[in-house]
Amino acid sequence: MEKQELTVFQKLSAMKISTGVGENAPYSDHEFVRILQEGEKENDLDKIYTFVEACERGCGYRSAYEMLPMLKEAYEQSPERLFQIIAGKRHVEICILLSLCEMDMLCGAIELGGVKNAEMLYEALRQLSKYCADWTQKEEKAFISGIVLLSEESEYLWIRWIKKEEYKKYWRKILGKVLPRLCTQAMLIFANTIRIDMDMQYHQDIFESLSVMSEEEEEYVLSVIGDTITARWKNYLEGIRQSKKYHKGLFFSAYGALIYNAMAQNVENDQMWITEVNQCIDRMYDGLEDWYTSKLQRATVYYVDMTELYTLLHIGEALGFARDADLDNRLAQLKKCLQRYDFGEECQML
Amino acid sequence: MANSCAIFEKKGNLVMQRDFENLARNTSLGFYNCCEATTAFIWHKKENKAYHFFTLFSMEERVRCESRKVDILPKLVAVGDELSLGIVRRIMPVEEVNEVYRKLKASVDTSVVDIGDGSLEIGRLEEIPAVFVPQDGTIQVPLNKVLKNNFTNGSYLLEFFDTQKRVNSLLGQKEQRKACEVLYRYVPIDLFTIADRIGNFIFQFPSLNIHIDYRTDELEQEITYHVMLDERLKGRRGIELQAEFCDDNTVLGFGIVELDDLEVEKTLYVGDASKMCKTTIIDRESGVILGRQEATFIRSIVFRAHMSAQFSKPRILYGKDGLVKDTVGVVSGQTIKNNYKEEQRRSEWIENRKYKLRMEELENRKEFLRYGANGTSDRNKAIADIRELMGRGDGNKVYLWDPYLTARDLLDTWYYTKTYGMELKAITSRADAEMEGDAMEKWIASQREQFETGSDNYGINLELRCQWKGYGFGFHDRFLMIVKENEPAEVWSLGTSINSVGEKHHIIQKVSHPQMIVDAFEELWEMLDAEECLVWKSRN
Repeated sequence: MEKQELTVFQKLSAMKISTGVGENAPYSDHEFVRILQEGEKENDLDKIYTFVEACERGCGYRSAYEMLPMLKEAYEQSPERLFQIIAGKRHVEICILLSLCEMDMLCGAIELGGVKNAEMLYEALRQLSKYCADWTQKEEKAFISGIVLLSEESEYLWIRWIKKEEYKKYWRKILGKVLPRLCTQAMLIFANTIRIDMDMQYHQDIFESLSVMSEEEEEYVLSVIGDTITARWKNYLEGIRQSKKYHKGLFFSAYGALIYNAMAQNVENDQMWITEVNQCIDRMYDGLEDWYTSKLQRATVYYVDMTELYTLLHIGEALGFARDADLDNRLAQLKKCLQRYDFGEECQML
Repeated sequence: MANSCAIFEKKGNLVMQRDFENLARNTSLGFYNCCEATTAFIWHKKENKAYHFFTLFSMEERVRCESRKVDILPKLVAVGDELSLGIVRRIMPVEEVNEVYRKLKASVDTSVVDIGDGSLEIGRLEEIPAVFVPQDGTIQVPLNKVLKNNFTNGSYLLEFFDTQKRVNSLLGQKEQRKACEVLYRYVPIDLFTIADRIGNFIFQFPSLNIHIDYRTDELEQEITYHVMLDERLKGRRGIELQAEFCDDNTVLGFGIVELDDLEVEKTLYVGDASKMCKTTIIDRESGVILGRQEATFIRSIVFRAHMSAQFSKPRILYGKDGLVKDTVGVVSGQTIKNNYKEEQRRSEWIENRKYKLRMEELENRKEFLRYGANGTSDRNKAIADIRELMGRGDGNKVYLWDPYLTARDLLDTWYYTKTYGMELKAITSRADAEMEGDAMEKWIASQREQFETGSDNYGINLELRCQWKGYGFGFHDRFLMIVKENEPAEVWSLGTSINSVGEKHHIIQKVSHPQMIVDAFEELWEMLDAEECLVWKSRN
């Protein structure tokens, strides 16, 4: 009887990847495997990725040498069939198999929407992001489309994506192209998920990235998330004011450009602006006159108030609002008053 | 004689009044244009009266100084049955504060005063002349816990001290604590810690018109001061800065700087700038202190960094059954030191000598005593020390807490005190012993026989109670306490029972939070107020 050769798809379907650890492996390796088993039992992606990321930090996956040619062959024959087979496997197997795929194959998986499997789409995007230094326009386009699709397919995975990728340079650089393409819901999720107090060292990337948006795109983005961003920033500052947690210096955020423009869009005319500035000055006096248990607490509240005032004055200048004589007097009075305290040089800009 | 007293009293009043006016108008201190008065009171529902709890008048220079009331506490907050705490705050002009000050002066011997928000029941007030309270530095100044924002240069205070504390008679310990907690929640006035200021009226005159920075050089021989005065003090003469460096009760360095301009930067060669630096700024003409700071410079920073892996191997603890009882996450730590200043070698010698002297002093004062250090018995010395400590109860009450205390132990120690009728309350325990049937009765009888036959009990005033079975709570404490009426208690931890003091290595040392231990003893004492717990009580 002739021995029947299995097709590549049959081989891939039949293939199983088992995960285990040697008895004499270190304690942490045993724990990672235990976490993976728990994650698979509970369908908990966070636990599964704890294992996956640990492997990626370590020695990676040592696969059989014929795996990649098999995957390539299957891809050439039918990408859809290949990814359907992969999508049917355990998530850790999906991660391992996709990690072997080259850039064009990953783009293919993304273009197929992960064959309608959001978790597979997520992993394909994650794998493609690792090649970001080598992207051409084609990969970038595929990636952005995939991100937009992911944001619409799964709220959980979209939130996870934002939180995990936020501190990566490629993501910050691509934000300006992603944001205007998101639907309203996805954009709001983005606005509610980002670290509004992200450190200033990341500011330049985000600023440059958002600068590529056209005027219409910027208007659209701000119309959707402007209020949310403003509210989150104000709540953040108010939280600091209430807790009086130590902080020296004005408050800035890597998302400063977004925050600034969001706040600016709410100031419609100079009368409104003057009212807001006056209210800010009153709040500052309230802060200076309040009781504190330490000098540092008073300084923190001052820096919160000064941040608000600084932002408002900047907005006024940018929008060409004129100060009236009363406001000029009040600012001069405030500047003189602040010189009695040893806060810093910020009051010089009043 | 009577006339001189009258003149003195009149002069005293003039001095006090001059103090207020001098301070309120002293522009070296501040250009005060208003005062914020914060008053806390206890409202007695049944009596329909407000009892004064505390008031601070803080003199300020504000841009917005119009008179107004400020909402602090919208509703009274209950602190006990029939008792609630209220807080009111007003901004008032300086002239009005002056009137309030005069009113308080006139009310020192009355029981009611109205300072603008209705009648307040007060105690007898004692006027305290002006004192200067520096800001916190290396050393904390306790009074700053009841002042407003005394962070910068310090403040002058004029105070009317409530010597009667009528409000305290309303409040039990629990109510007082609650009142202090509620007050602190709304205004950071800590009357729990600074409880002696309850009922007082304080006028605070902060020093607002100077700003001072200073730093030492690399070799710690010089100090550079940068002082800025408010521009409105332009041309003012007689403002001077004094710097003093002290250690080991000696003055290591000293310097004076005349502040003859609005902004002055001067370097003083002081010889040794590495120790405690006392900086005082004075206005020679008006005779006031404008600033006072005592601080040491940070010379090195040491911290511990701890690191662990995502899944680090834990330490496993096994139960008696051999199964895992618990796990403890273990981290690795590293000490990171930034010792940018080289330690002076002479410092080690000086610090060692100070430490040795301090230990000798502690031993002489019987605050730290060590026995059995060389493996030999120091029983006689330990008993002698215990007798001496007990003897310090002269004029006070003494408590003794020891789970193995017996009549024999008291006959060996307490019976050597000399003061007639000095009171001792002692608690022992038979919780560990097997006390079935009439065993406890027999034990008590044996103890009583020892007390009756071991001495004629002349001048002895003692009661011994026993914690056992369902009475009170089990304990393993060994404390000797001297409880005083108007002073903090003194408590020593004995480290071992009286029956074995000095036999093996142990330490007798004075504890730093005595009142809590006294409270715990008194709590157990009350619980043992049953015939079955009474071991013996002297007839005196």
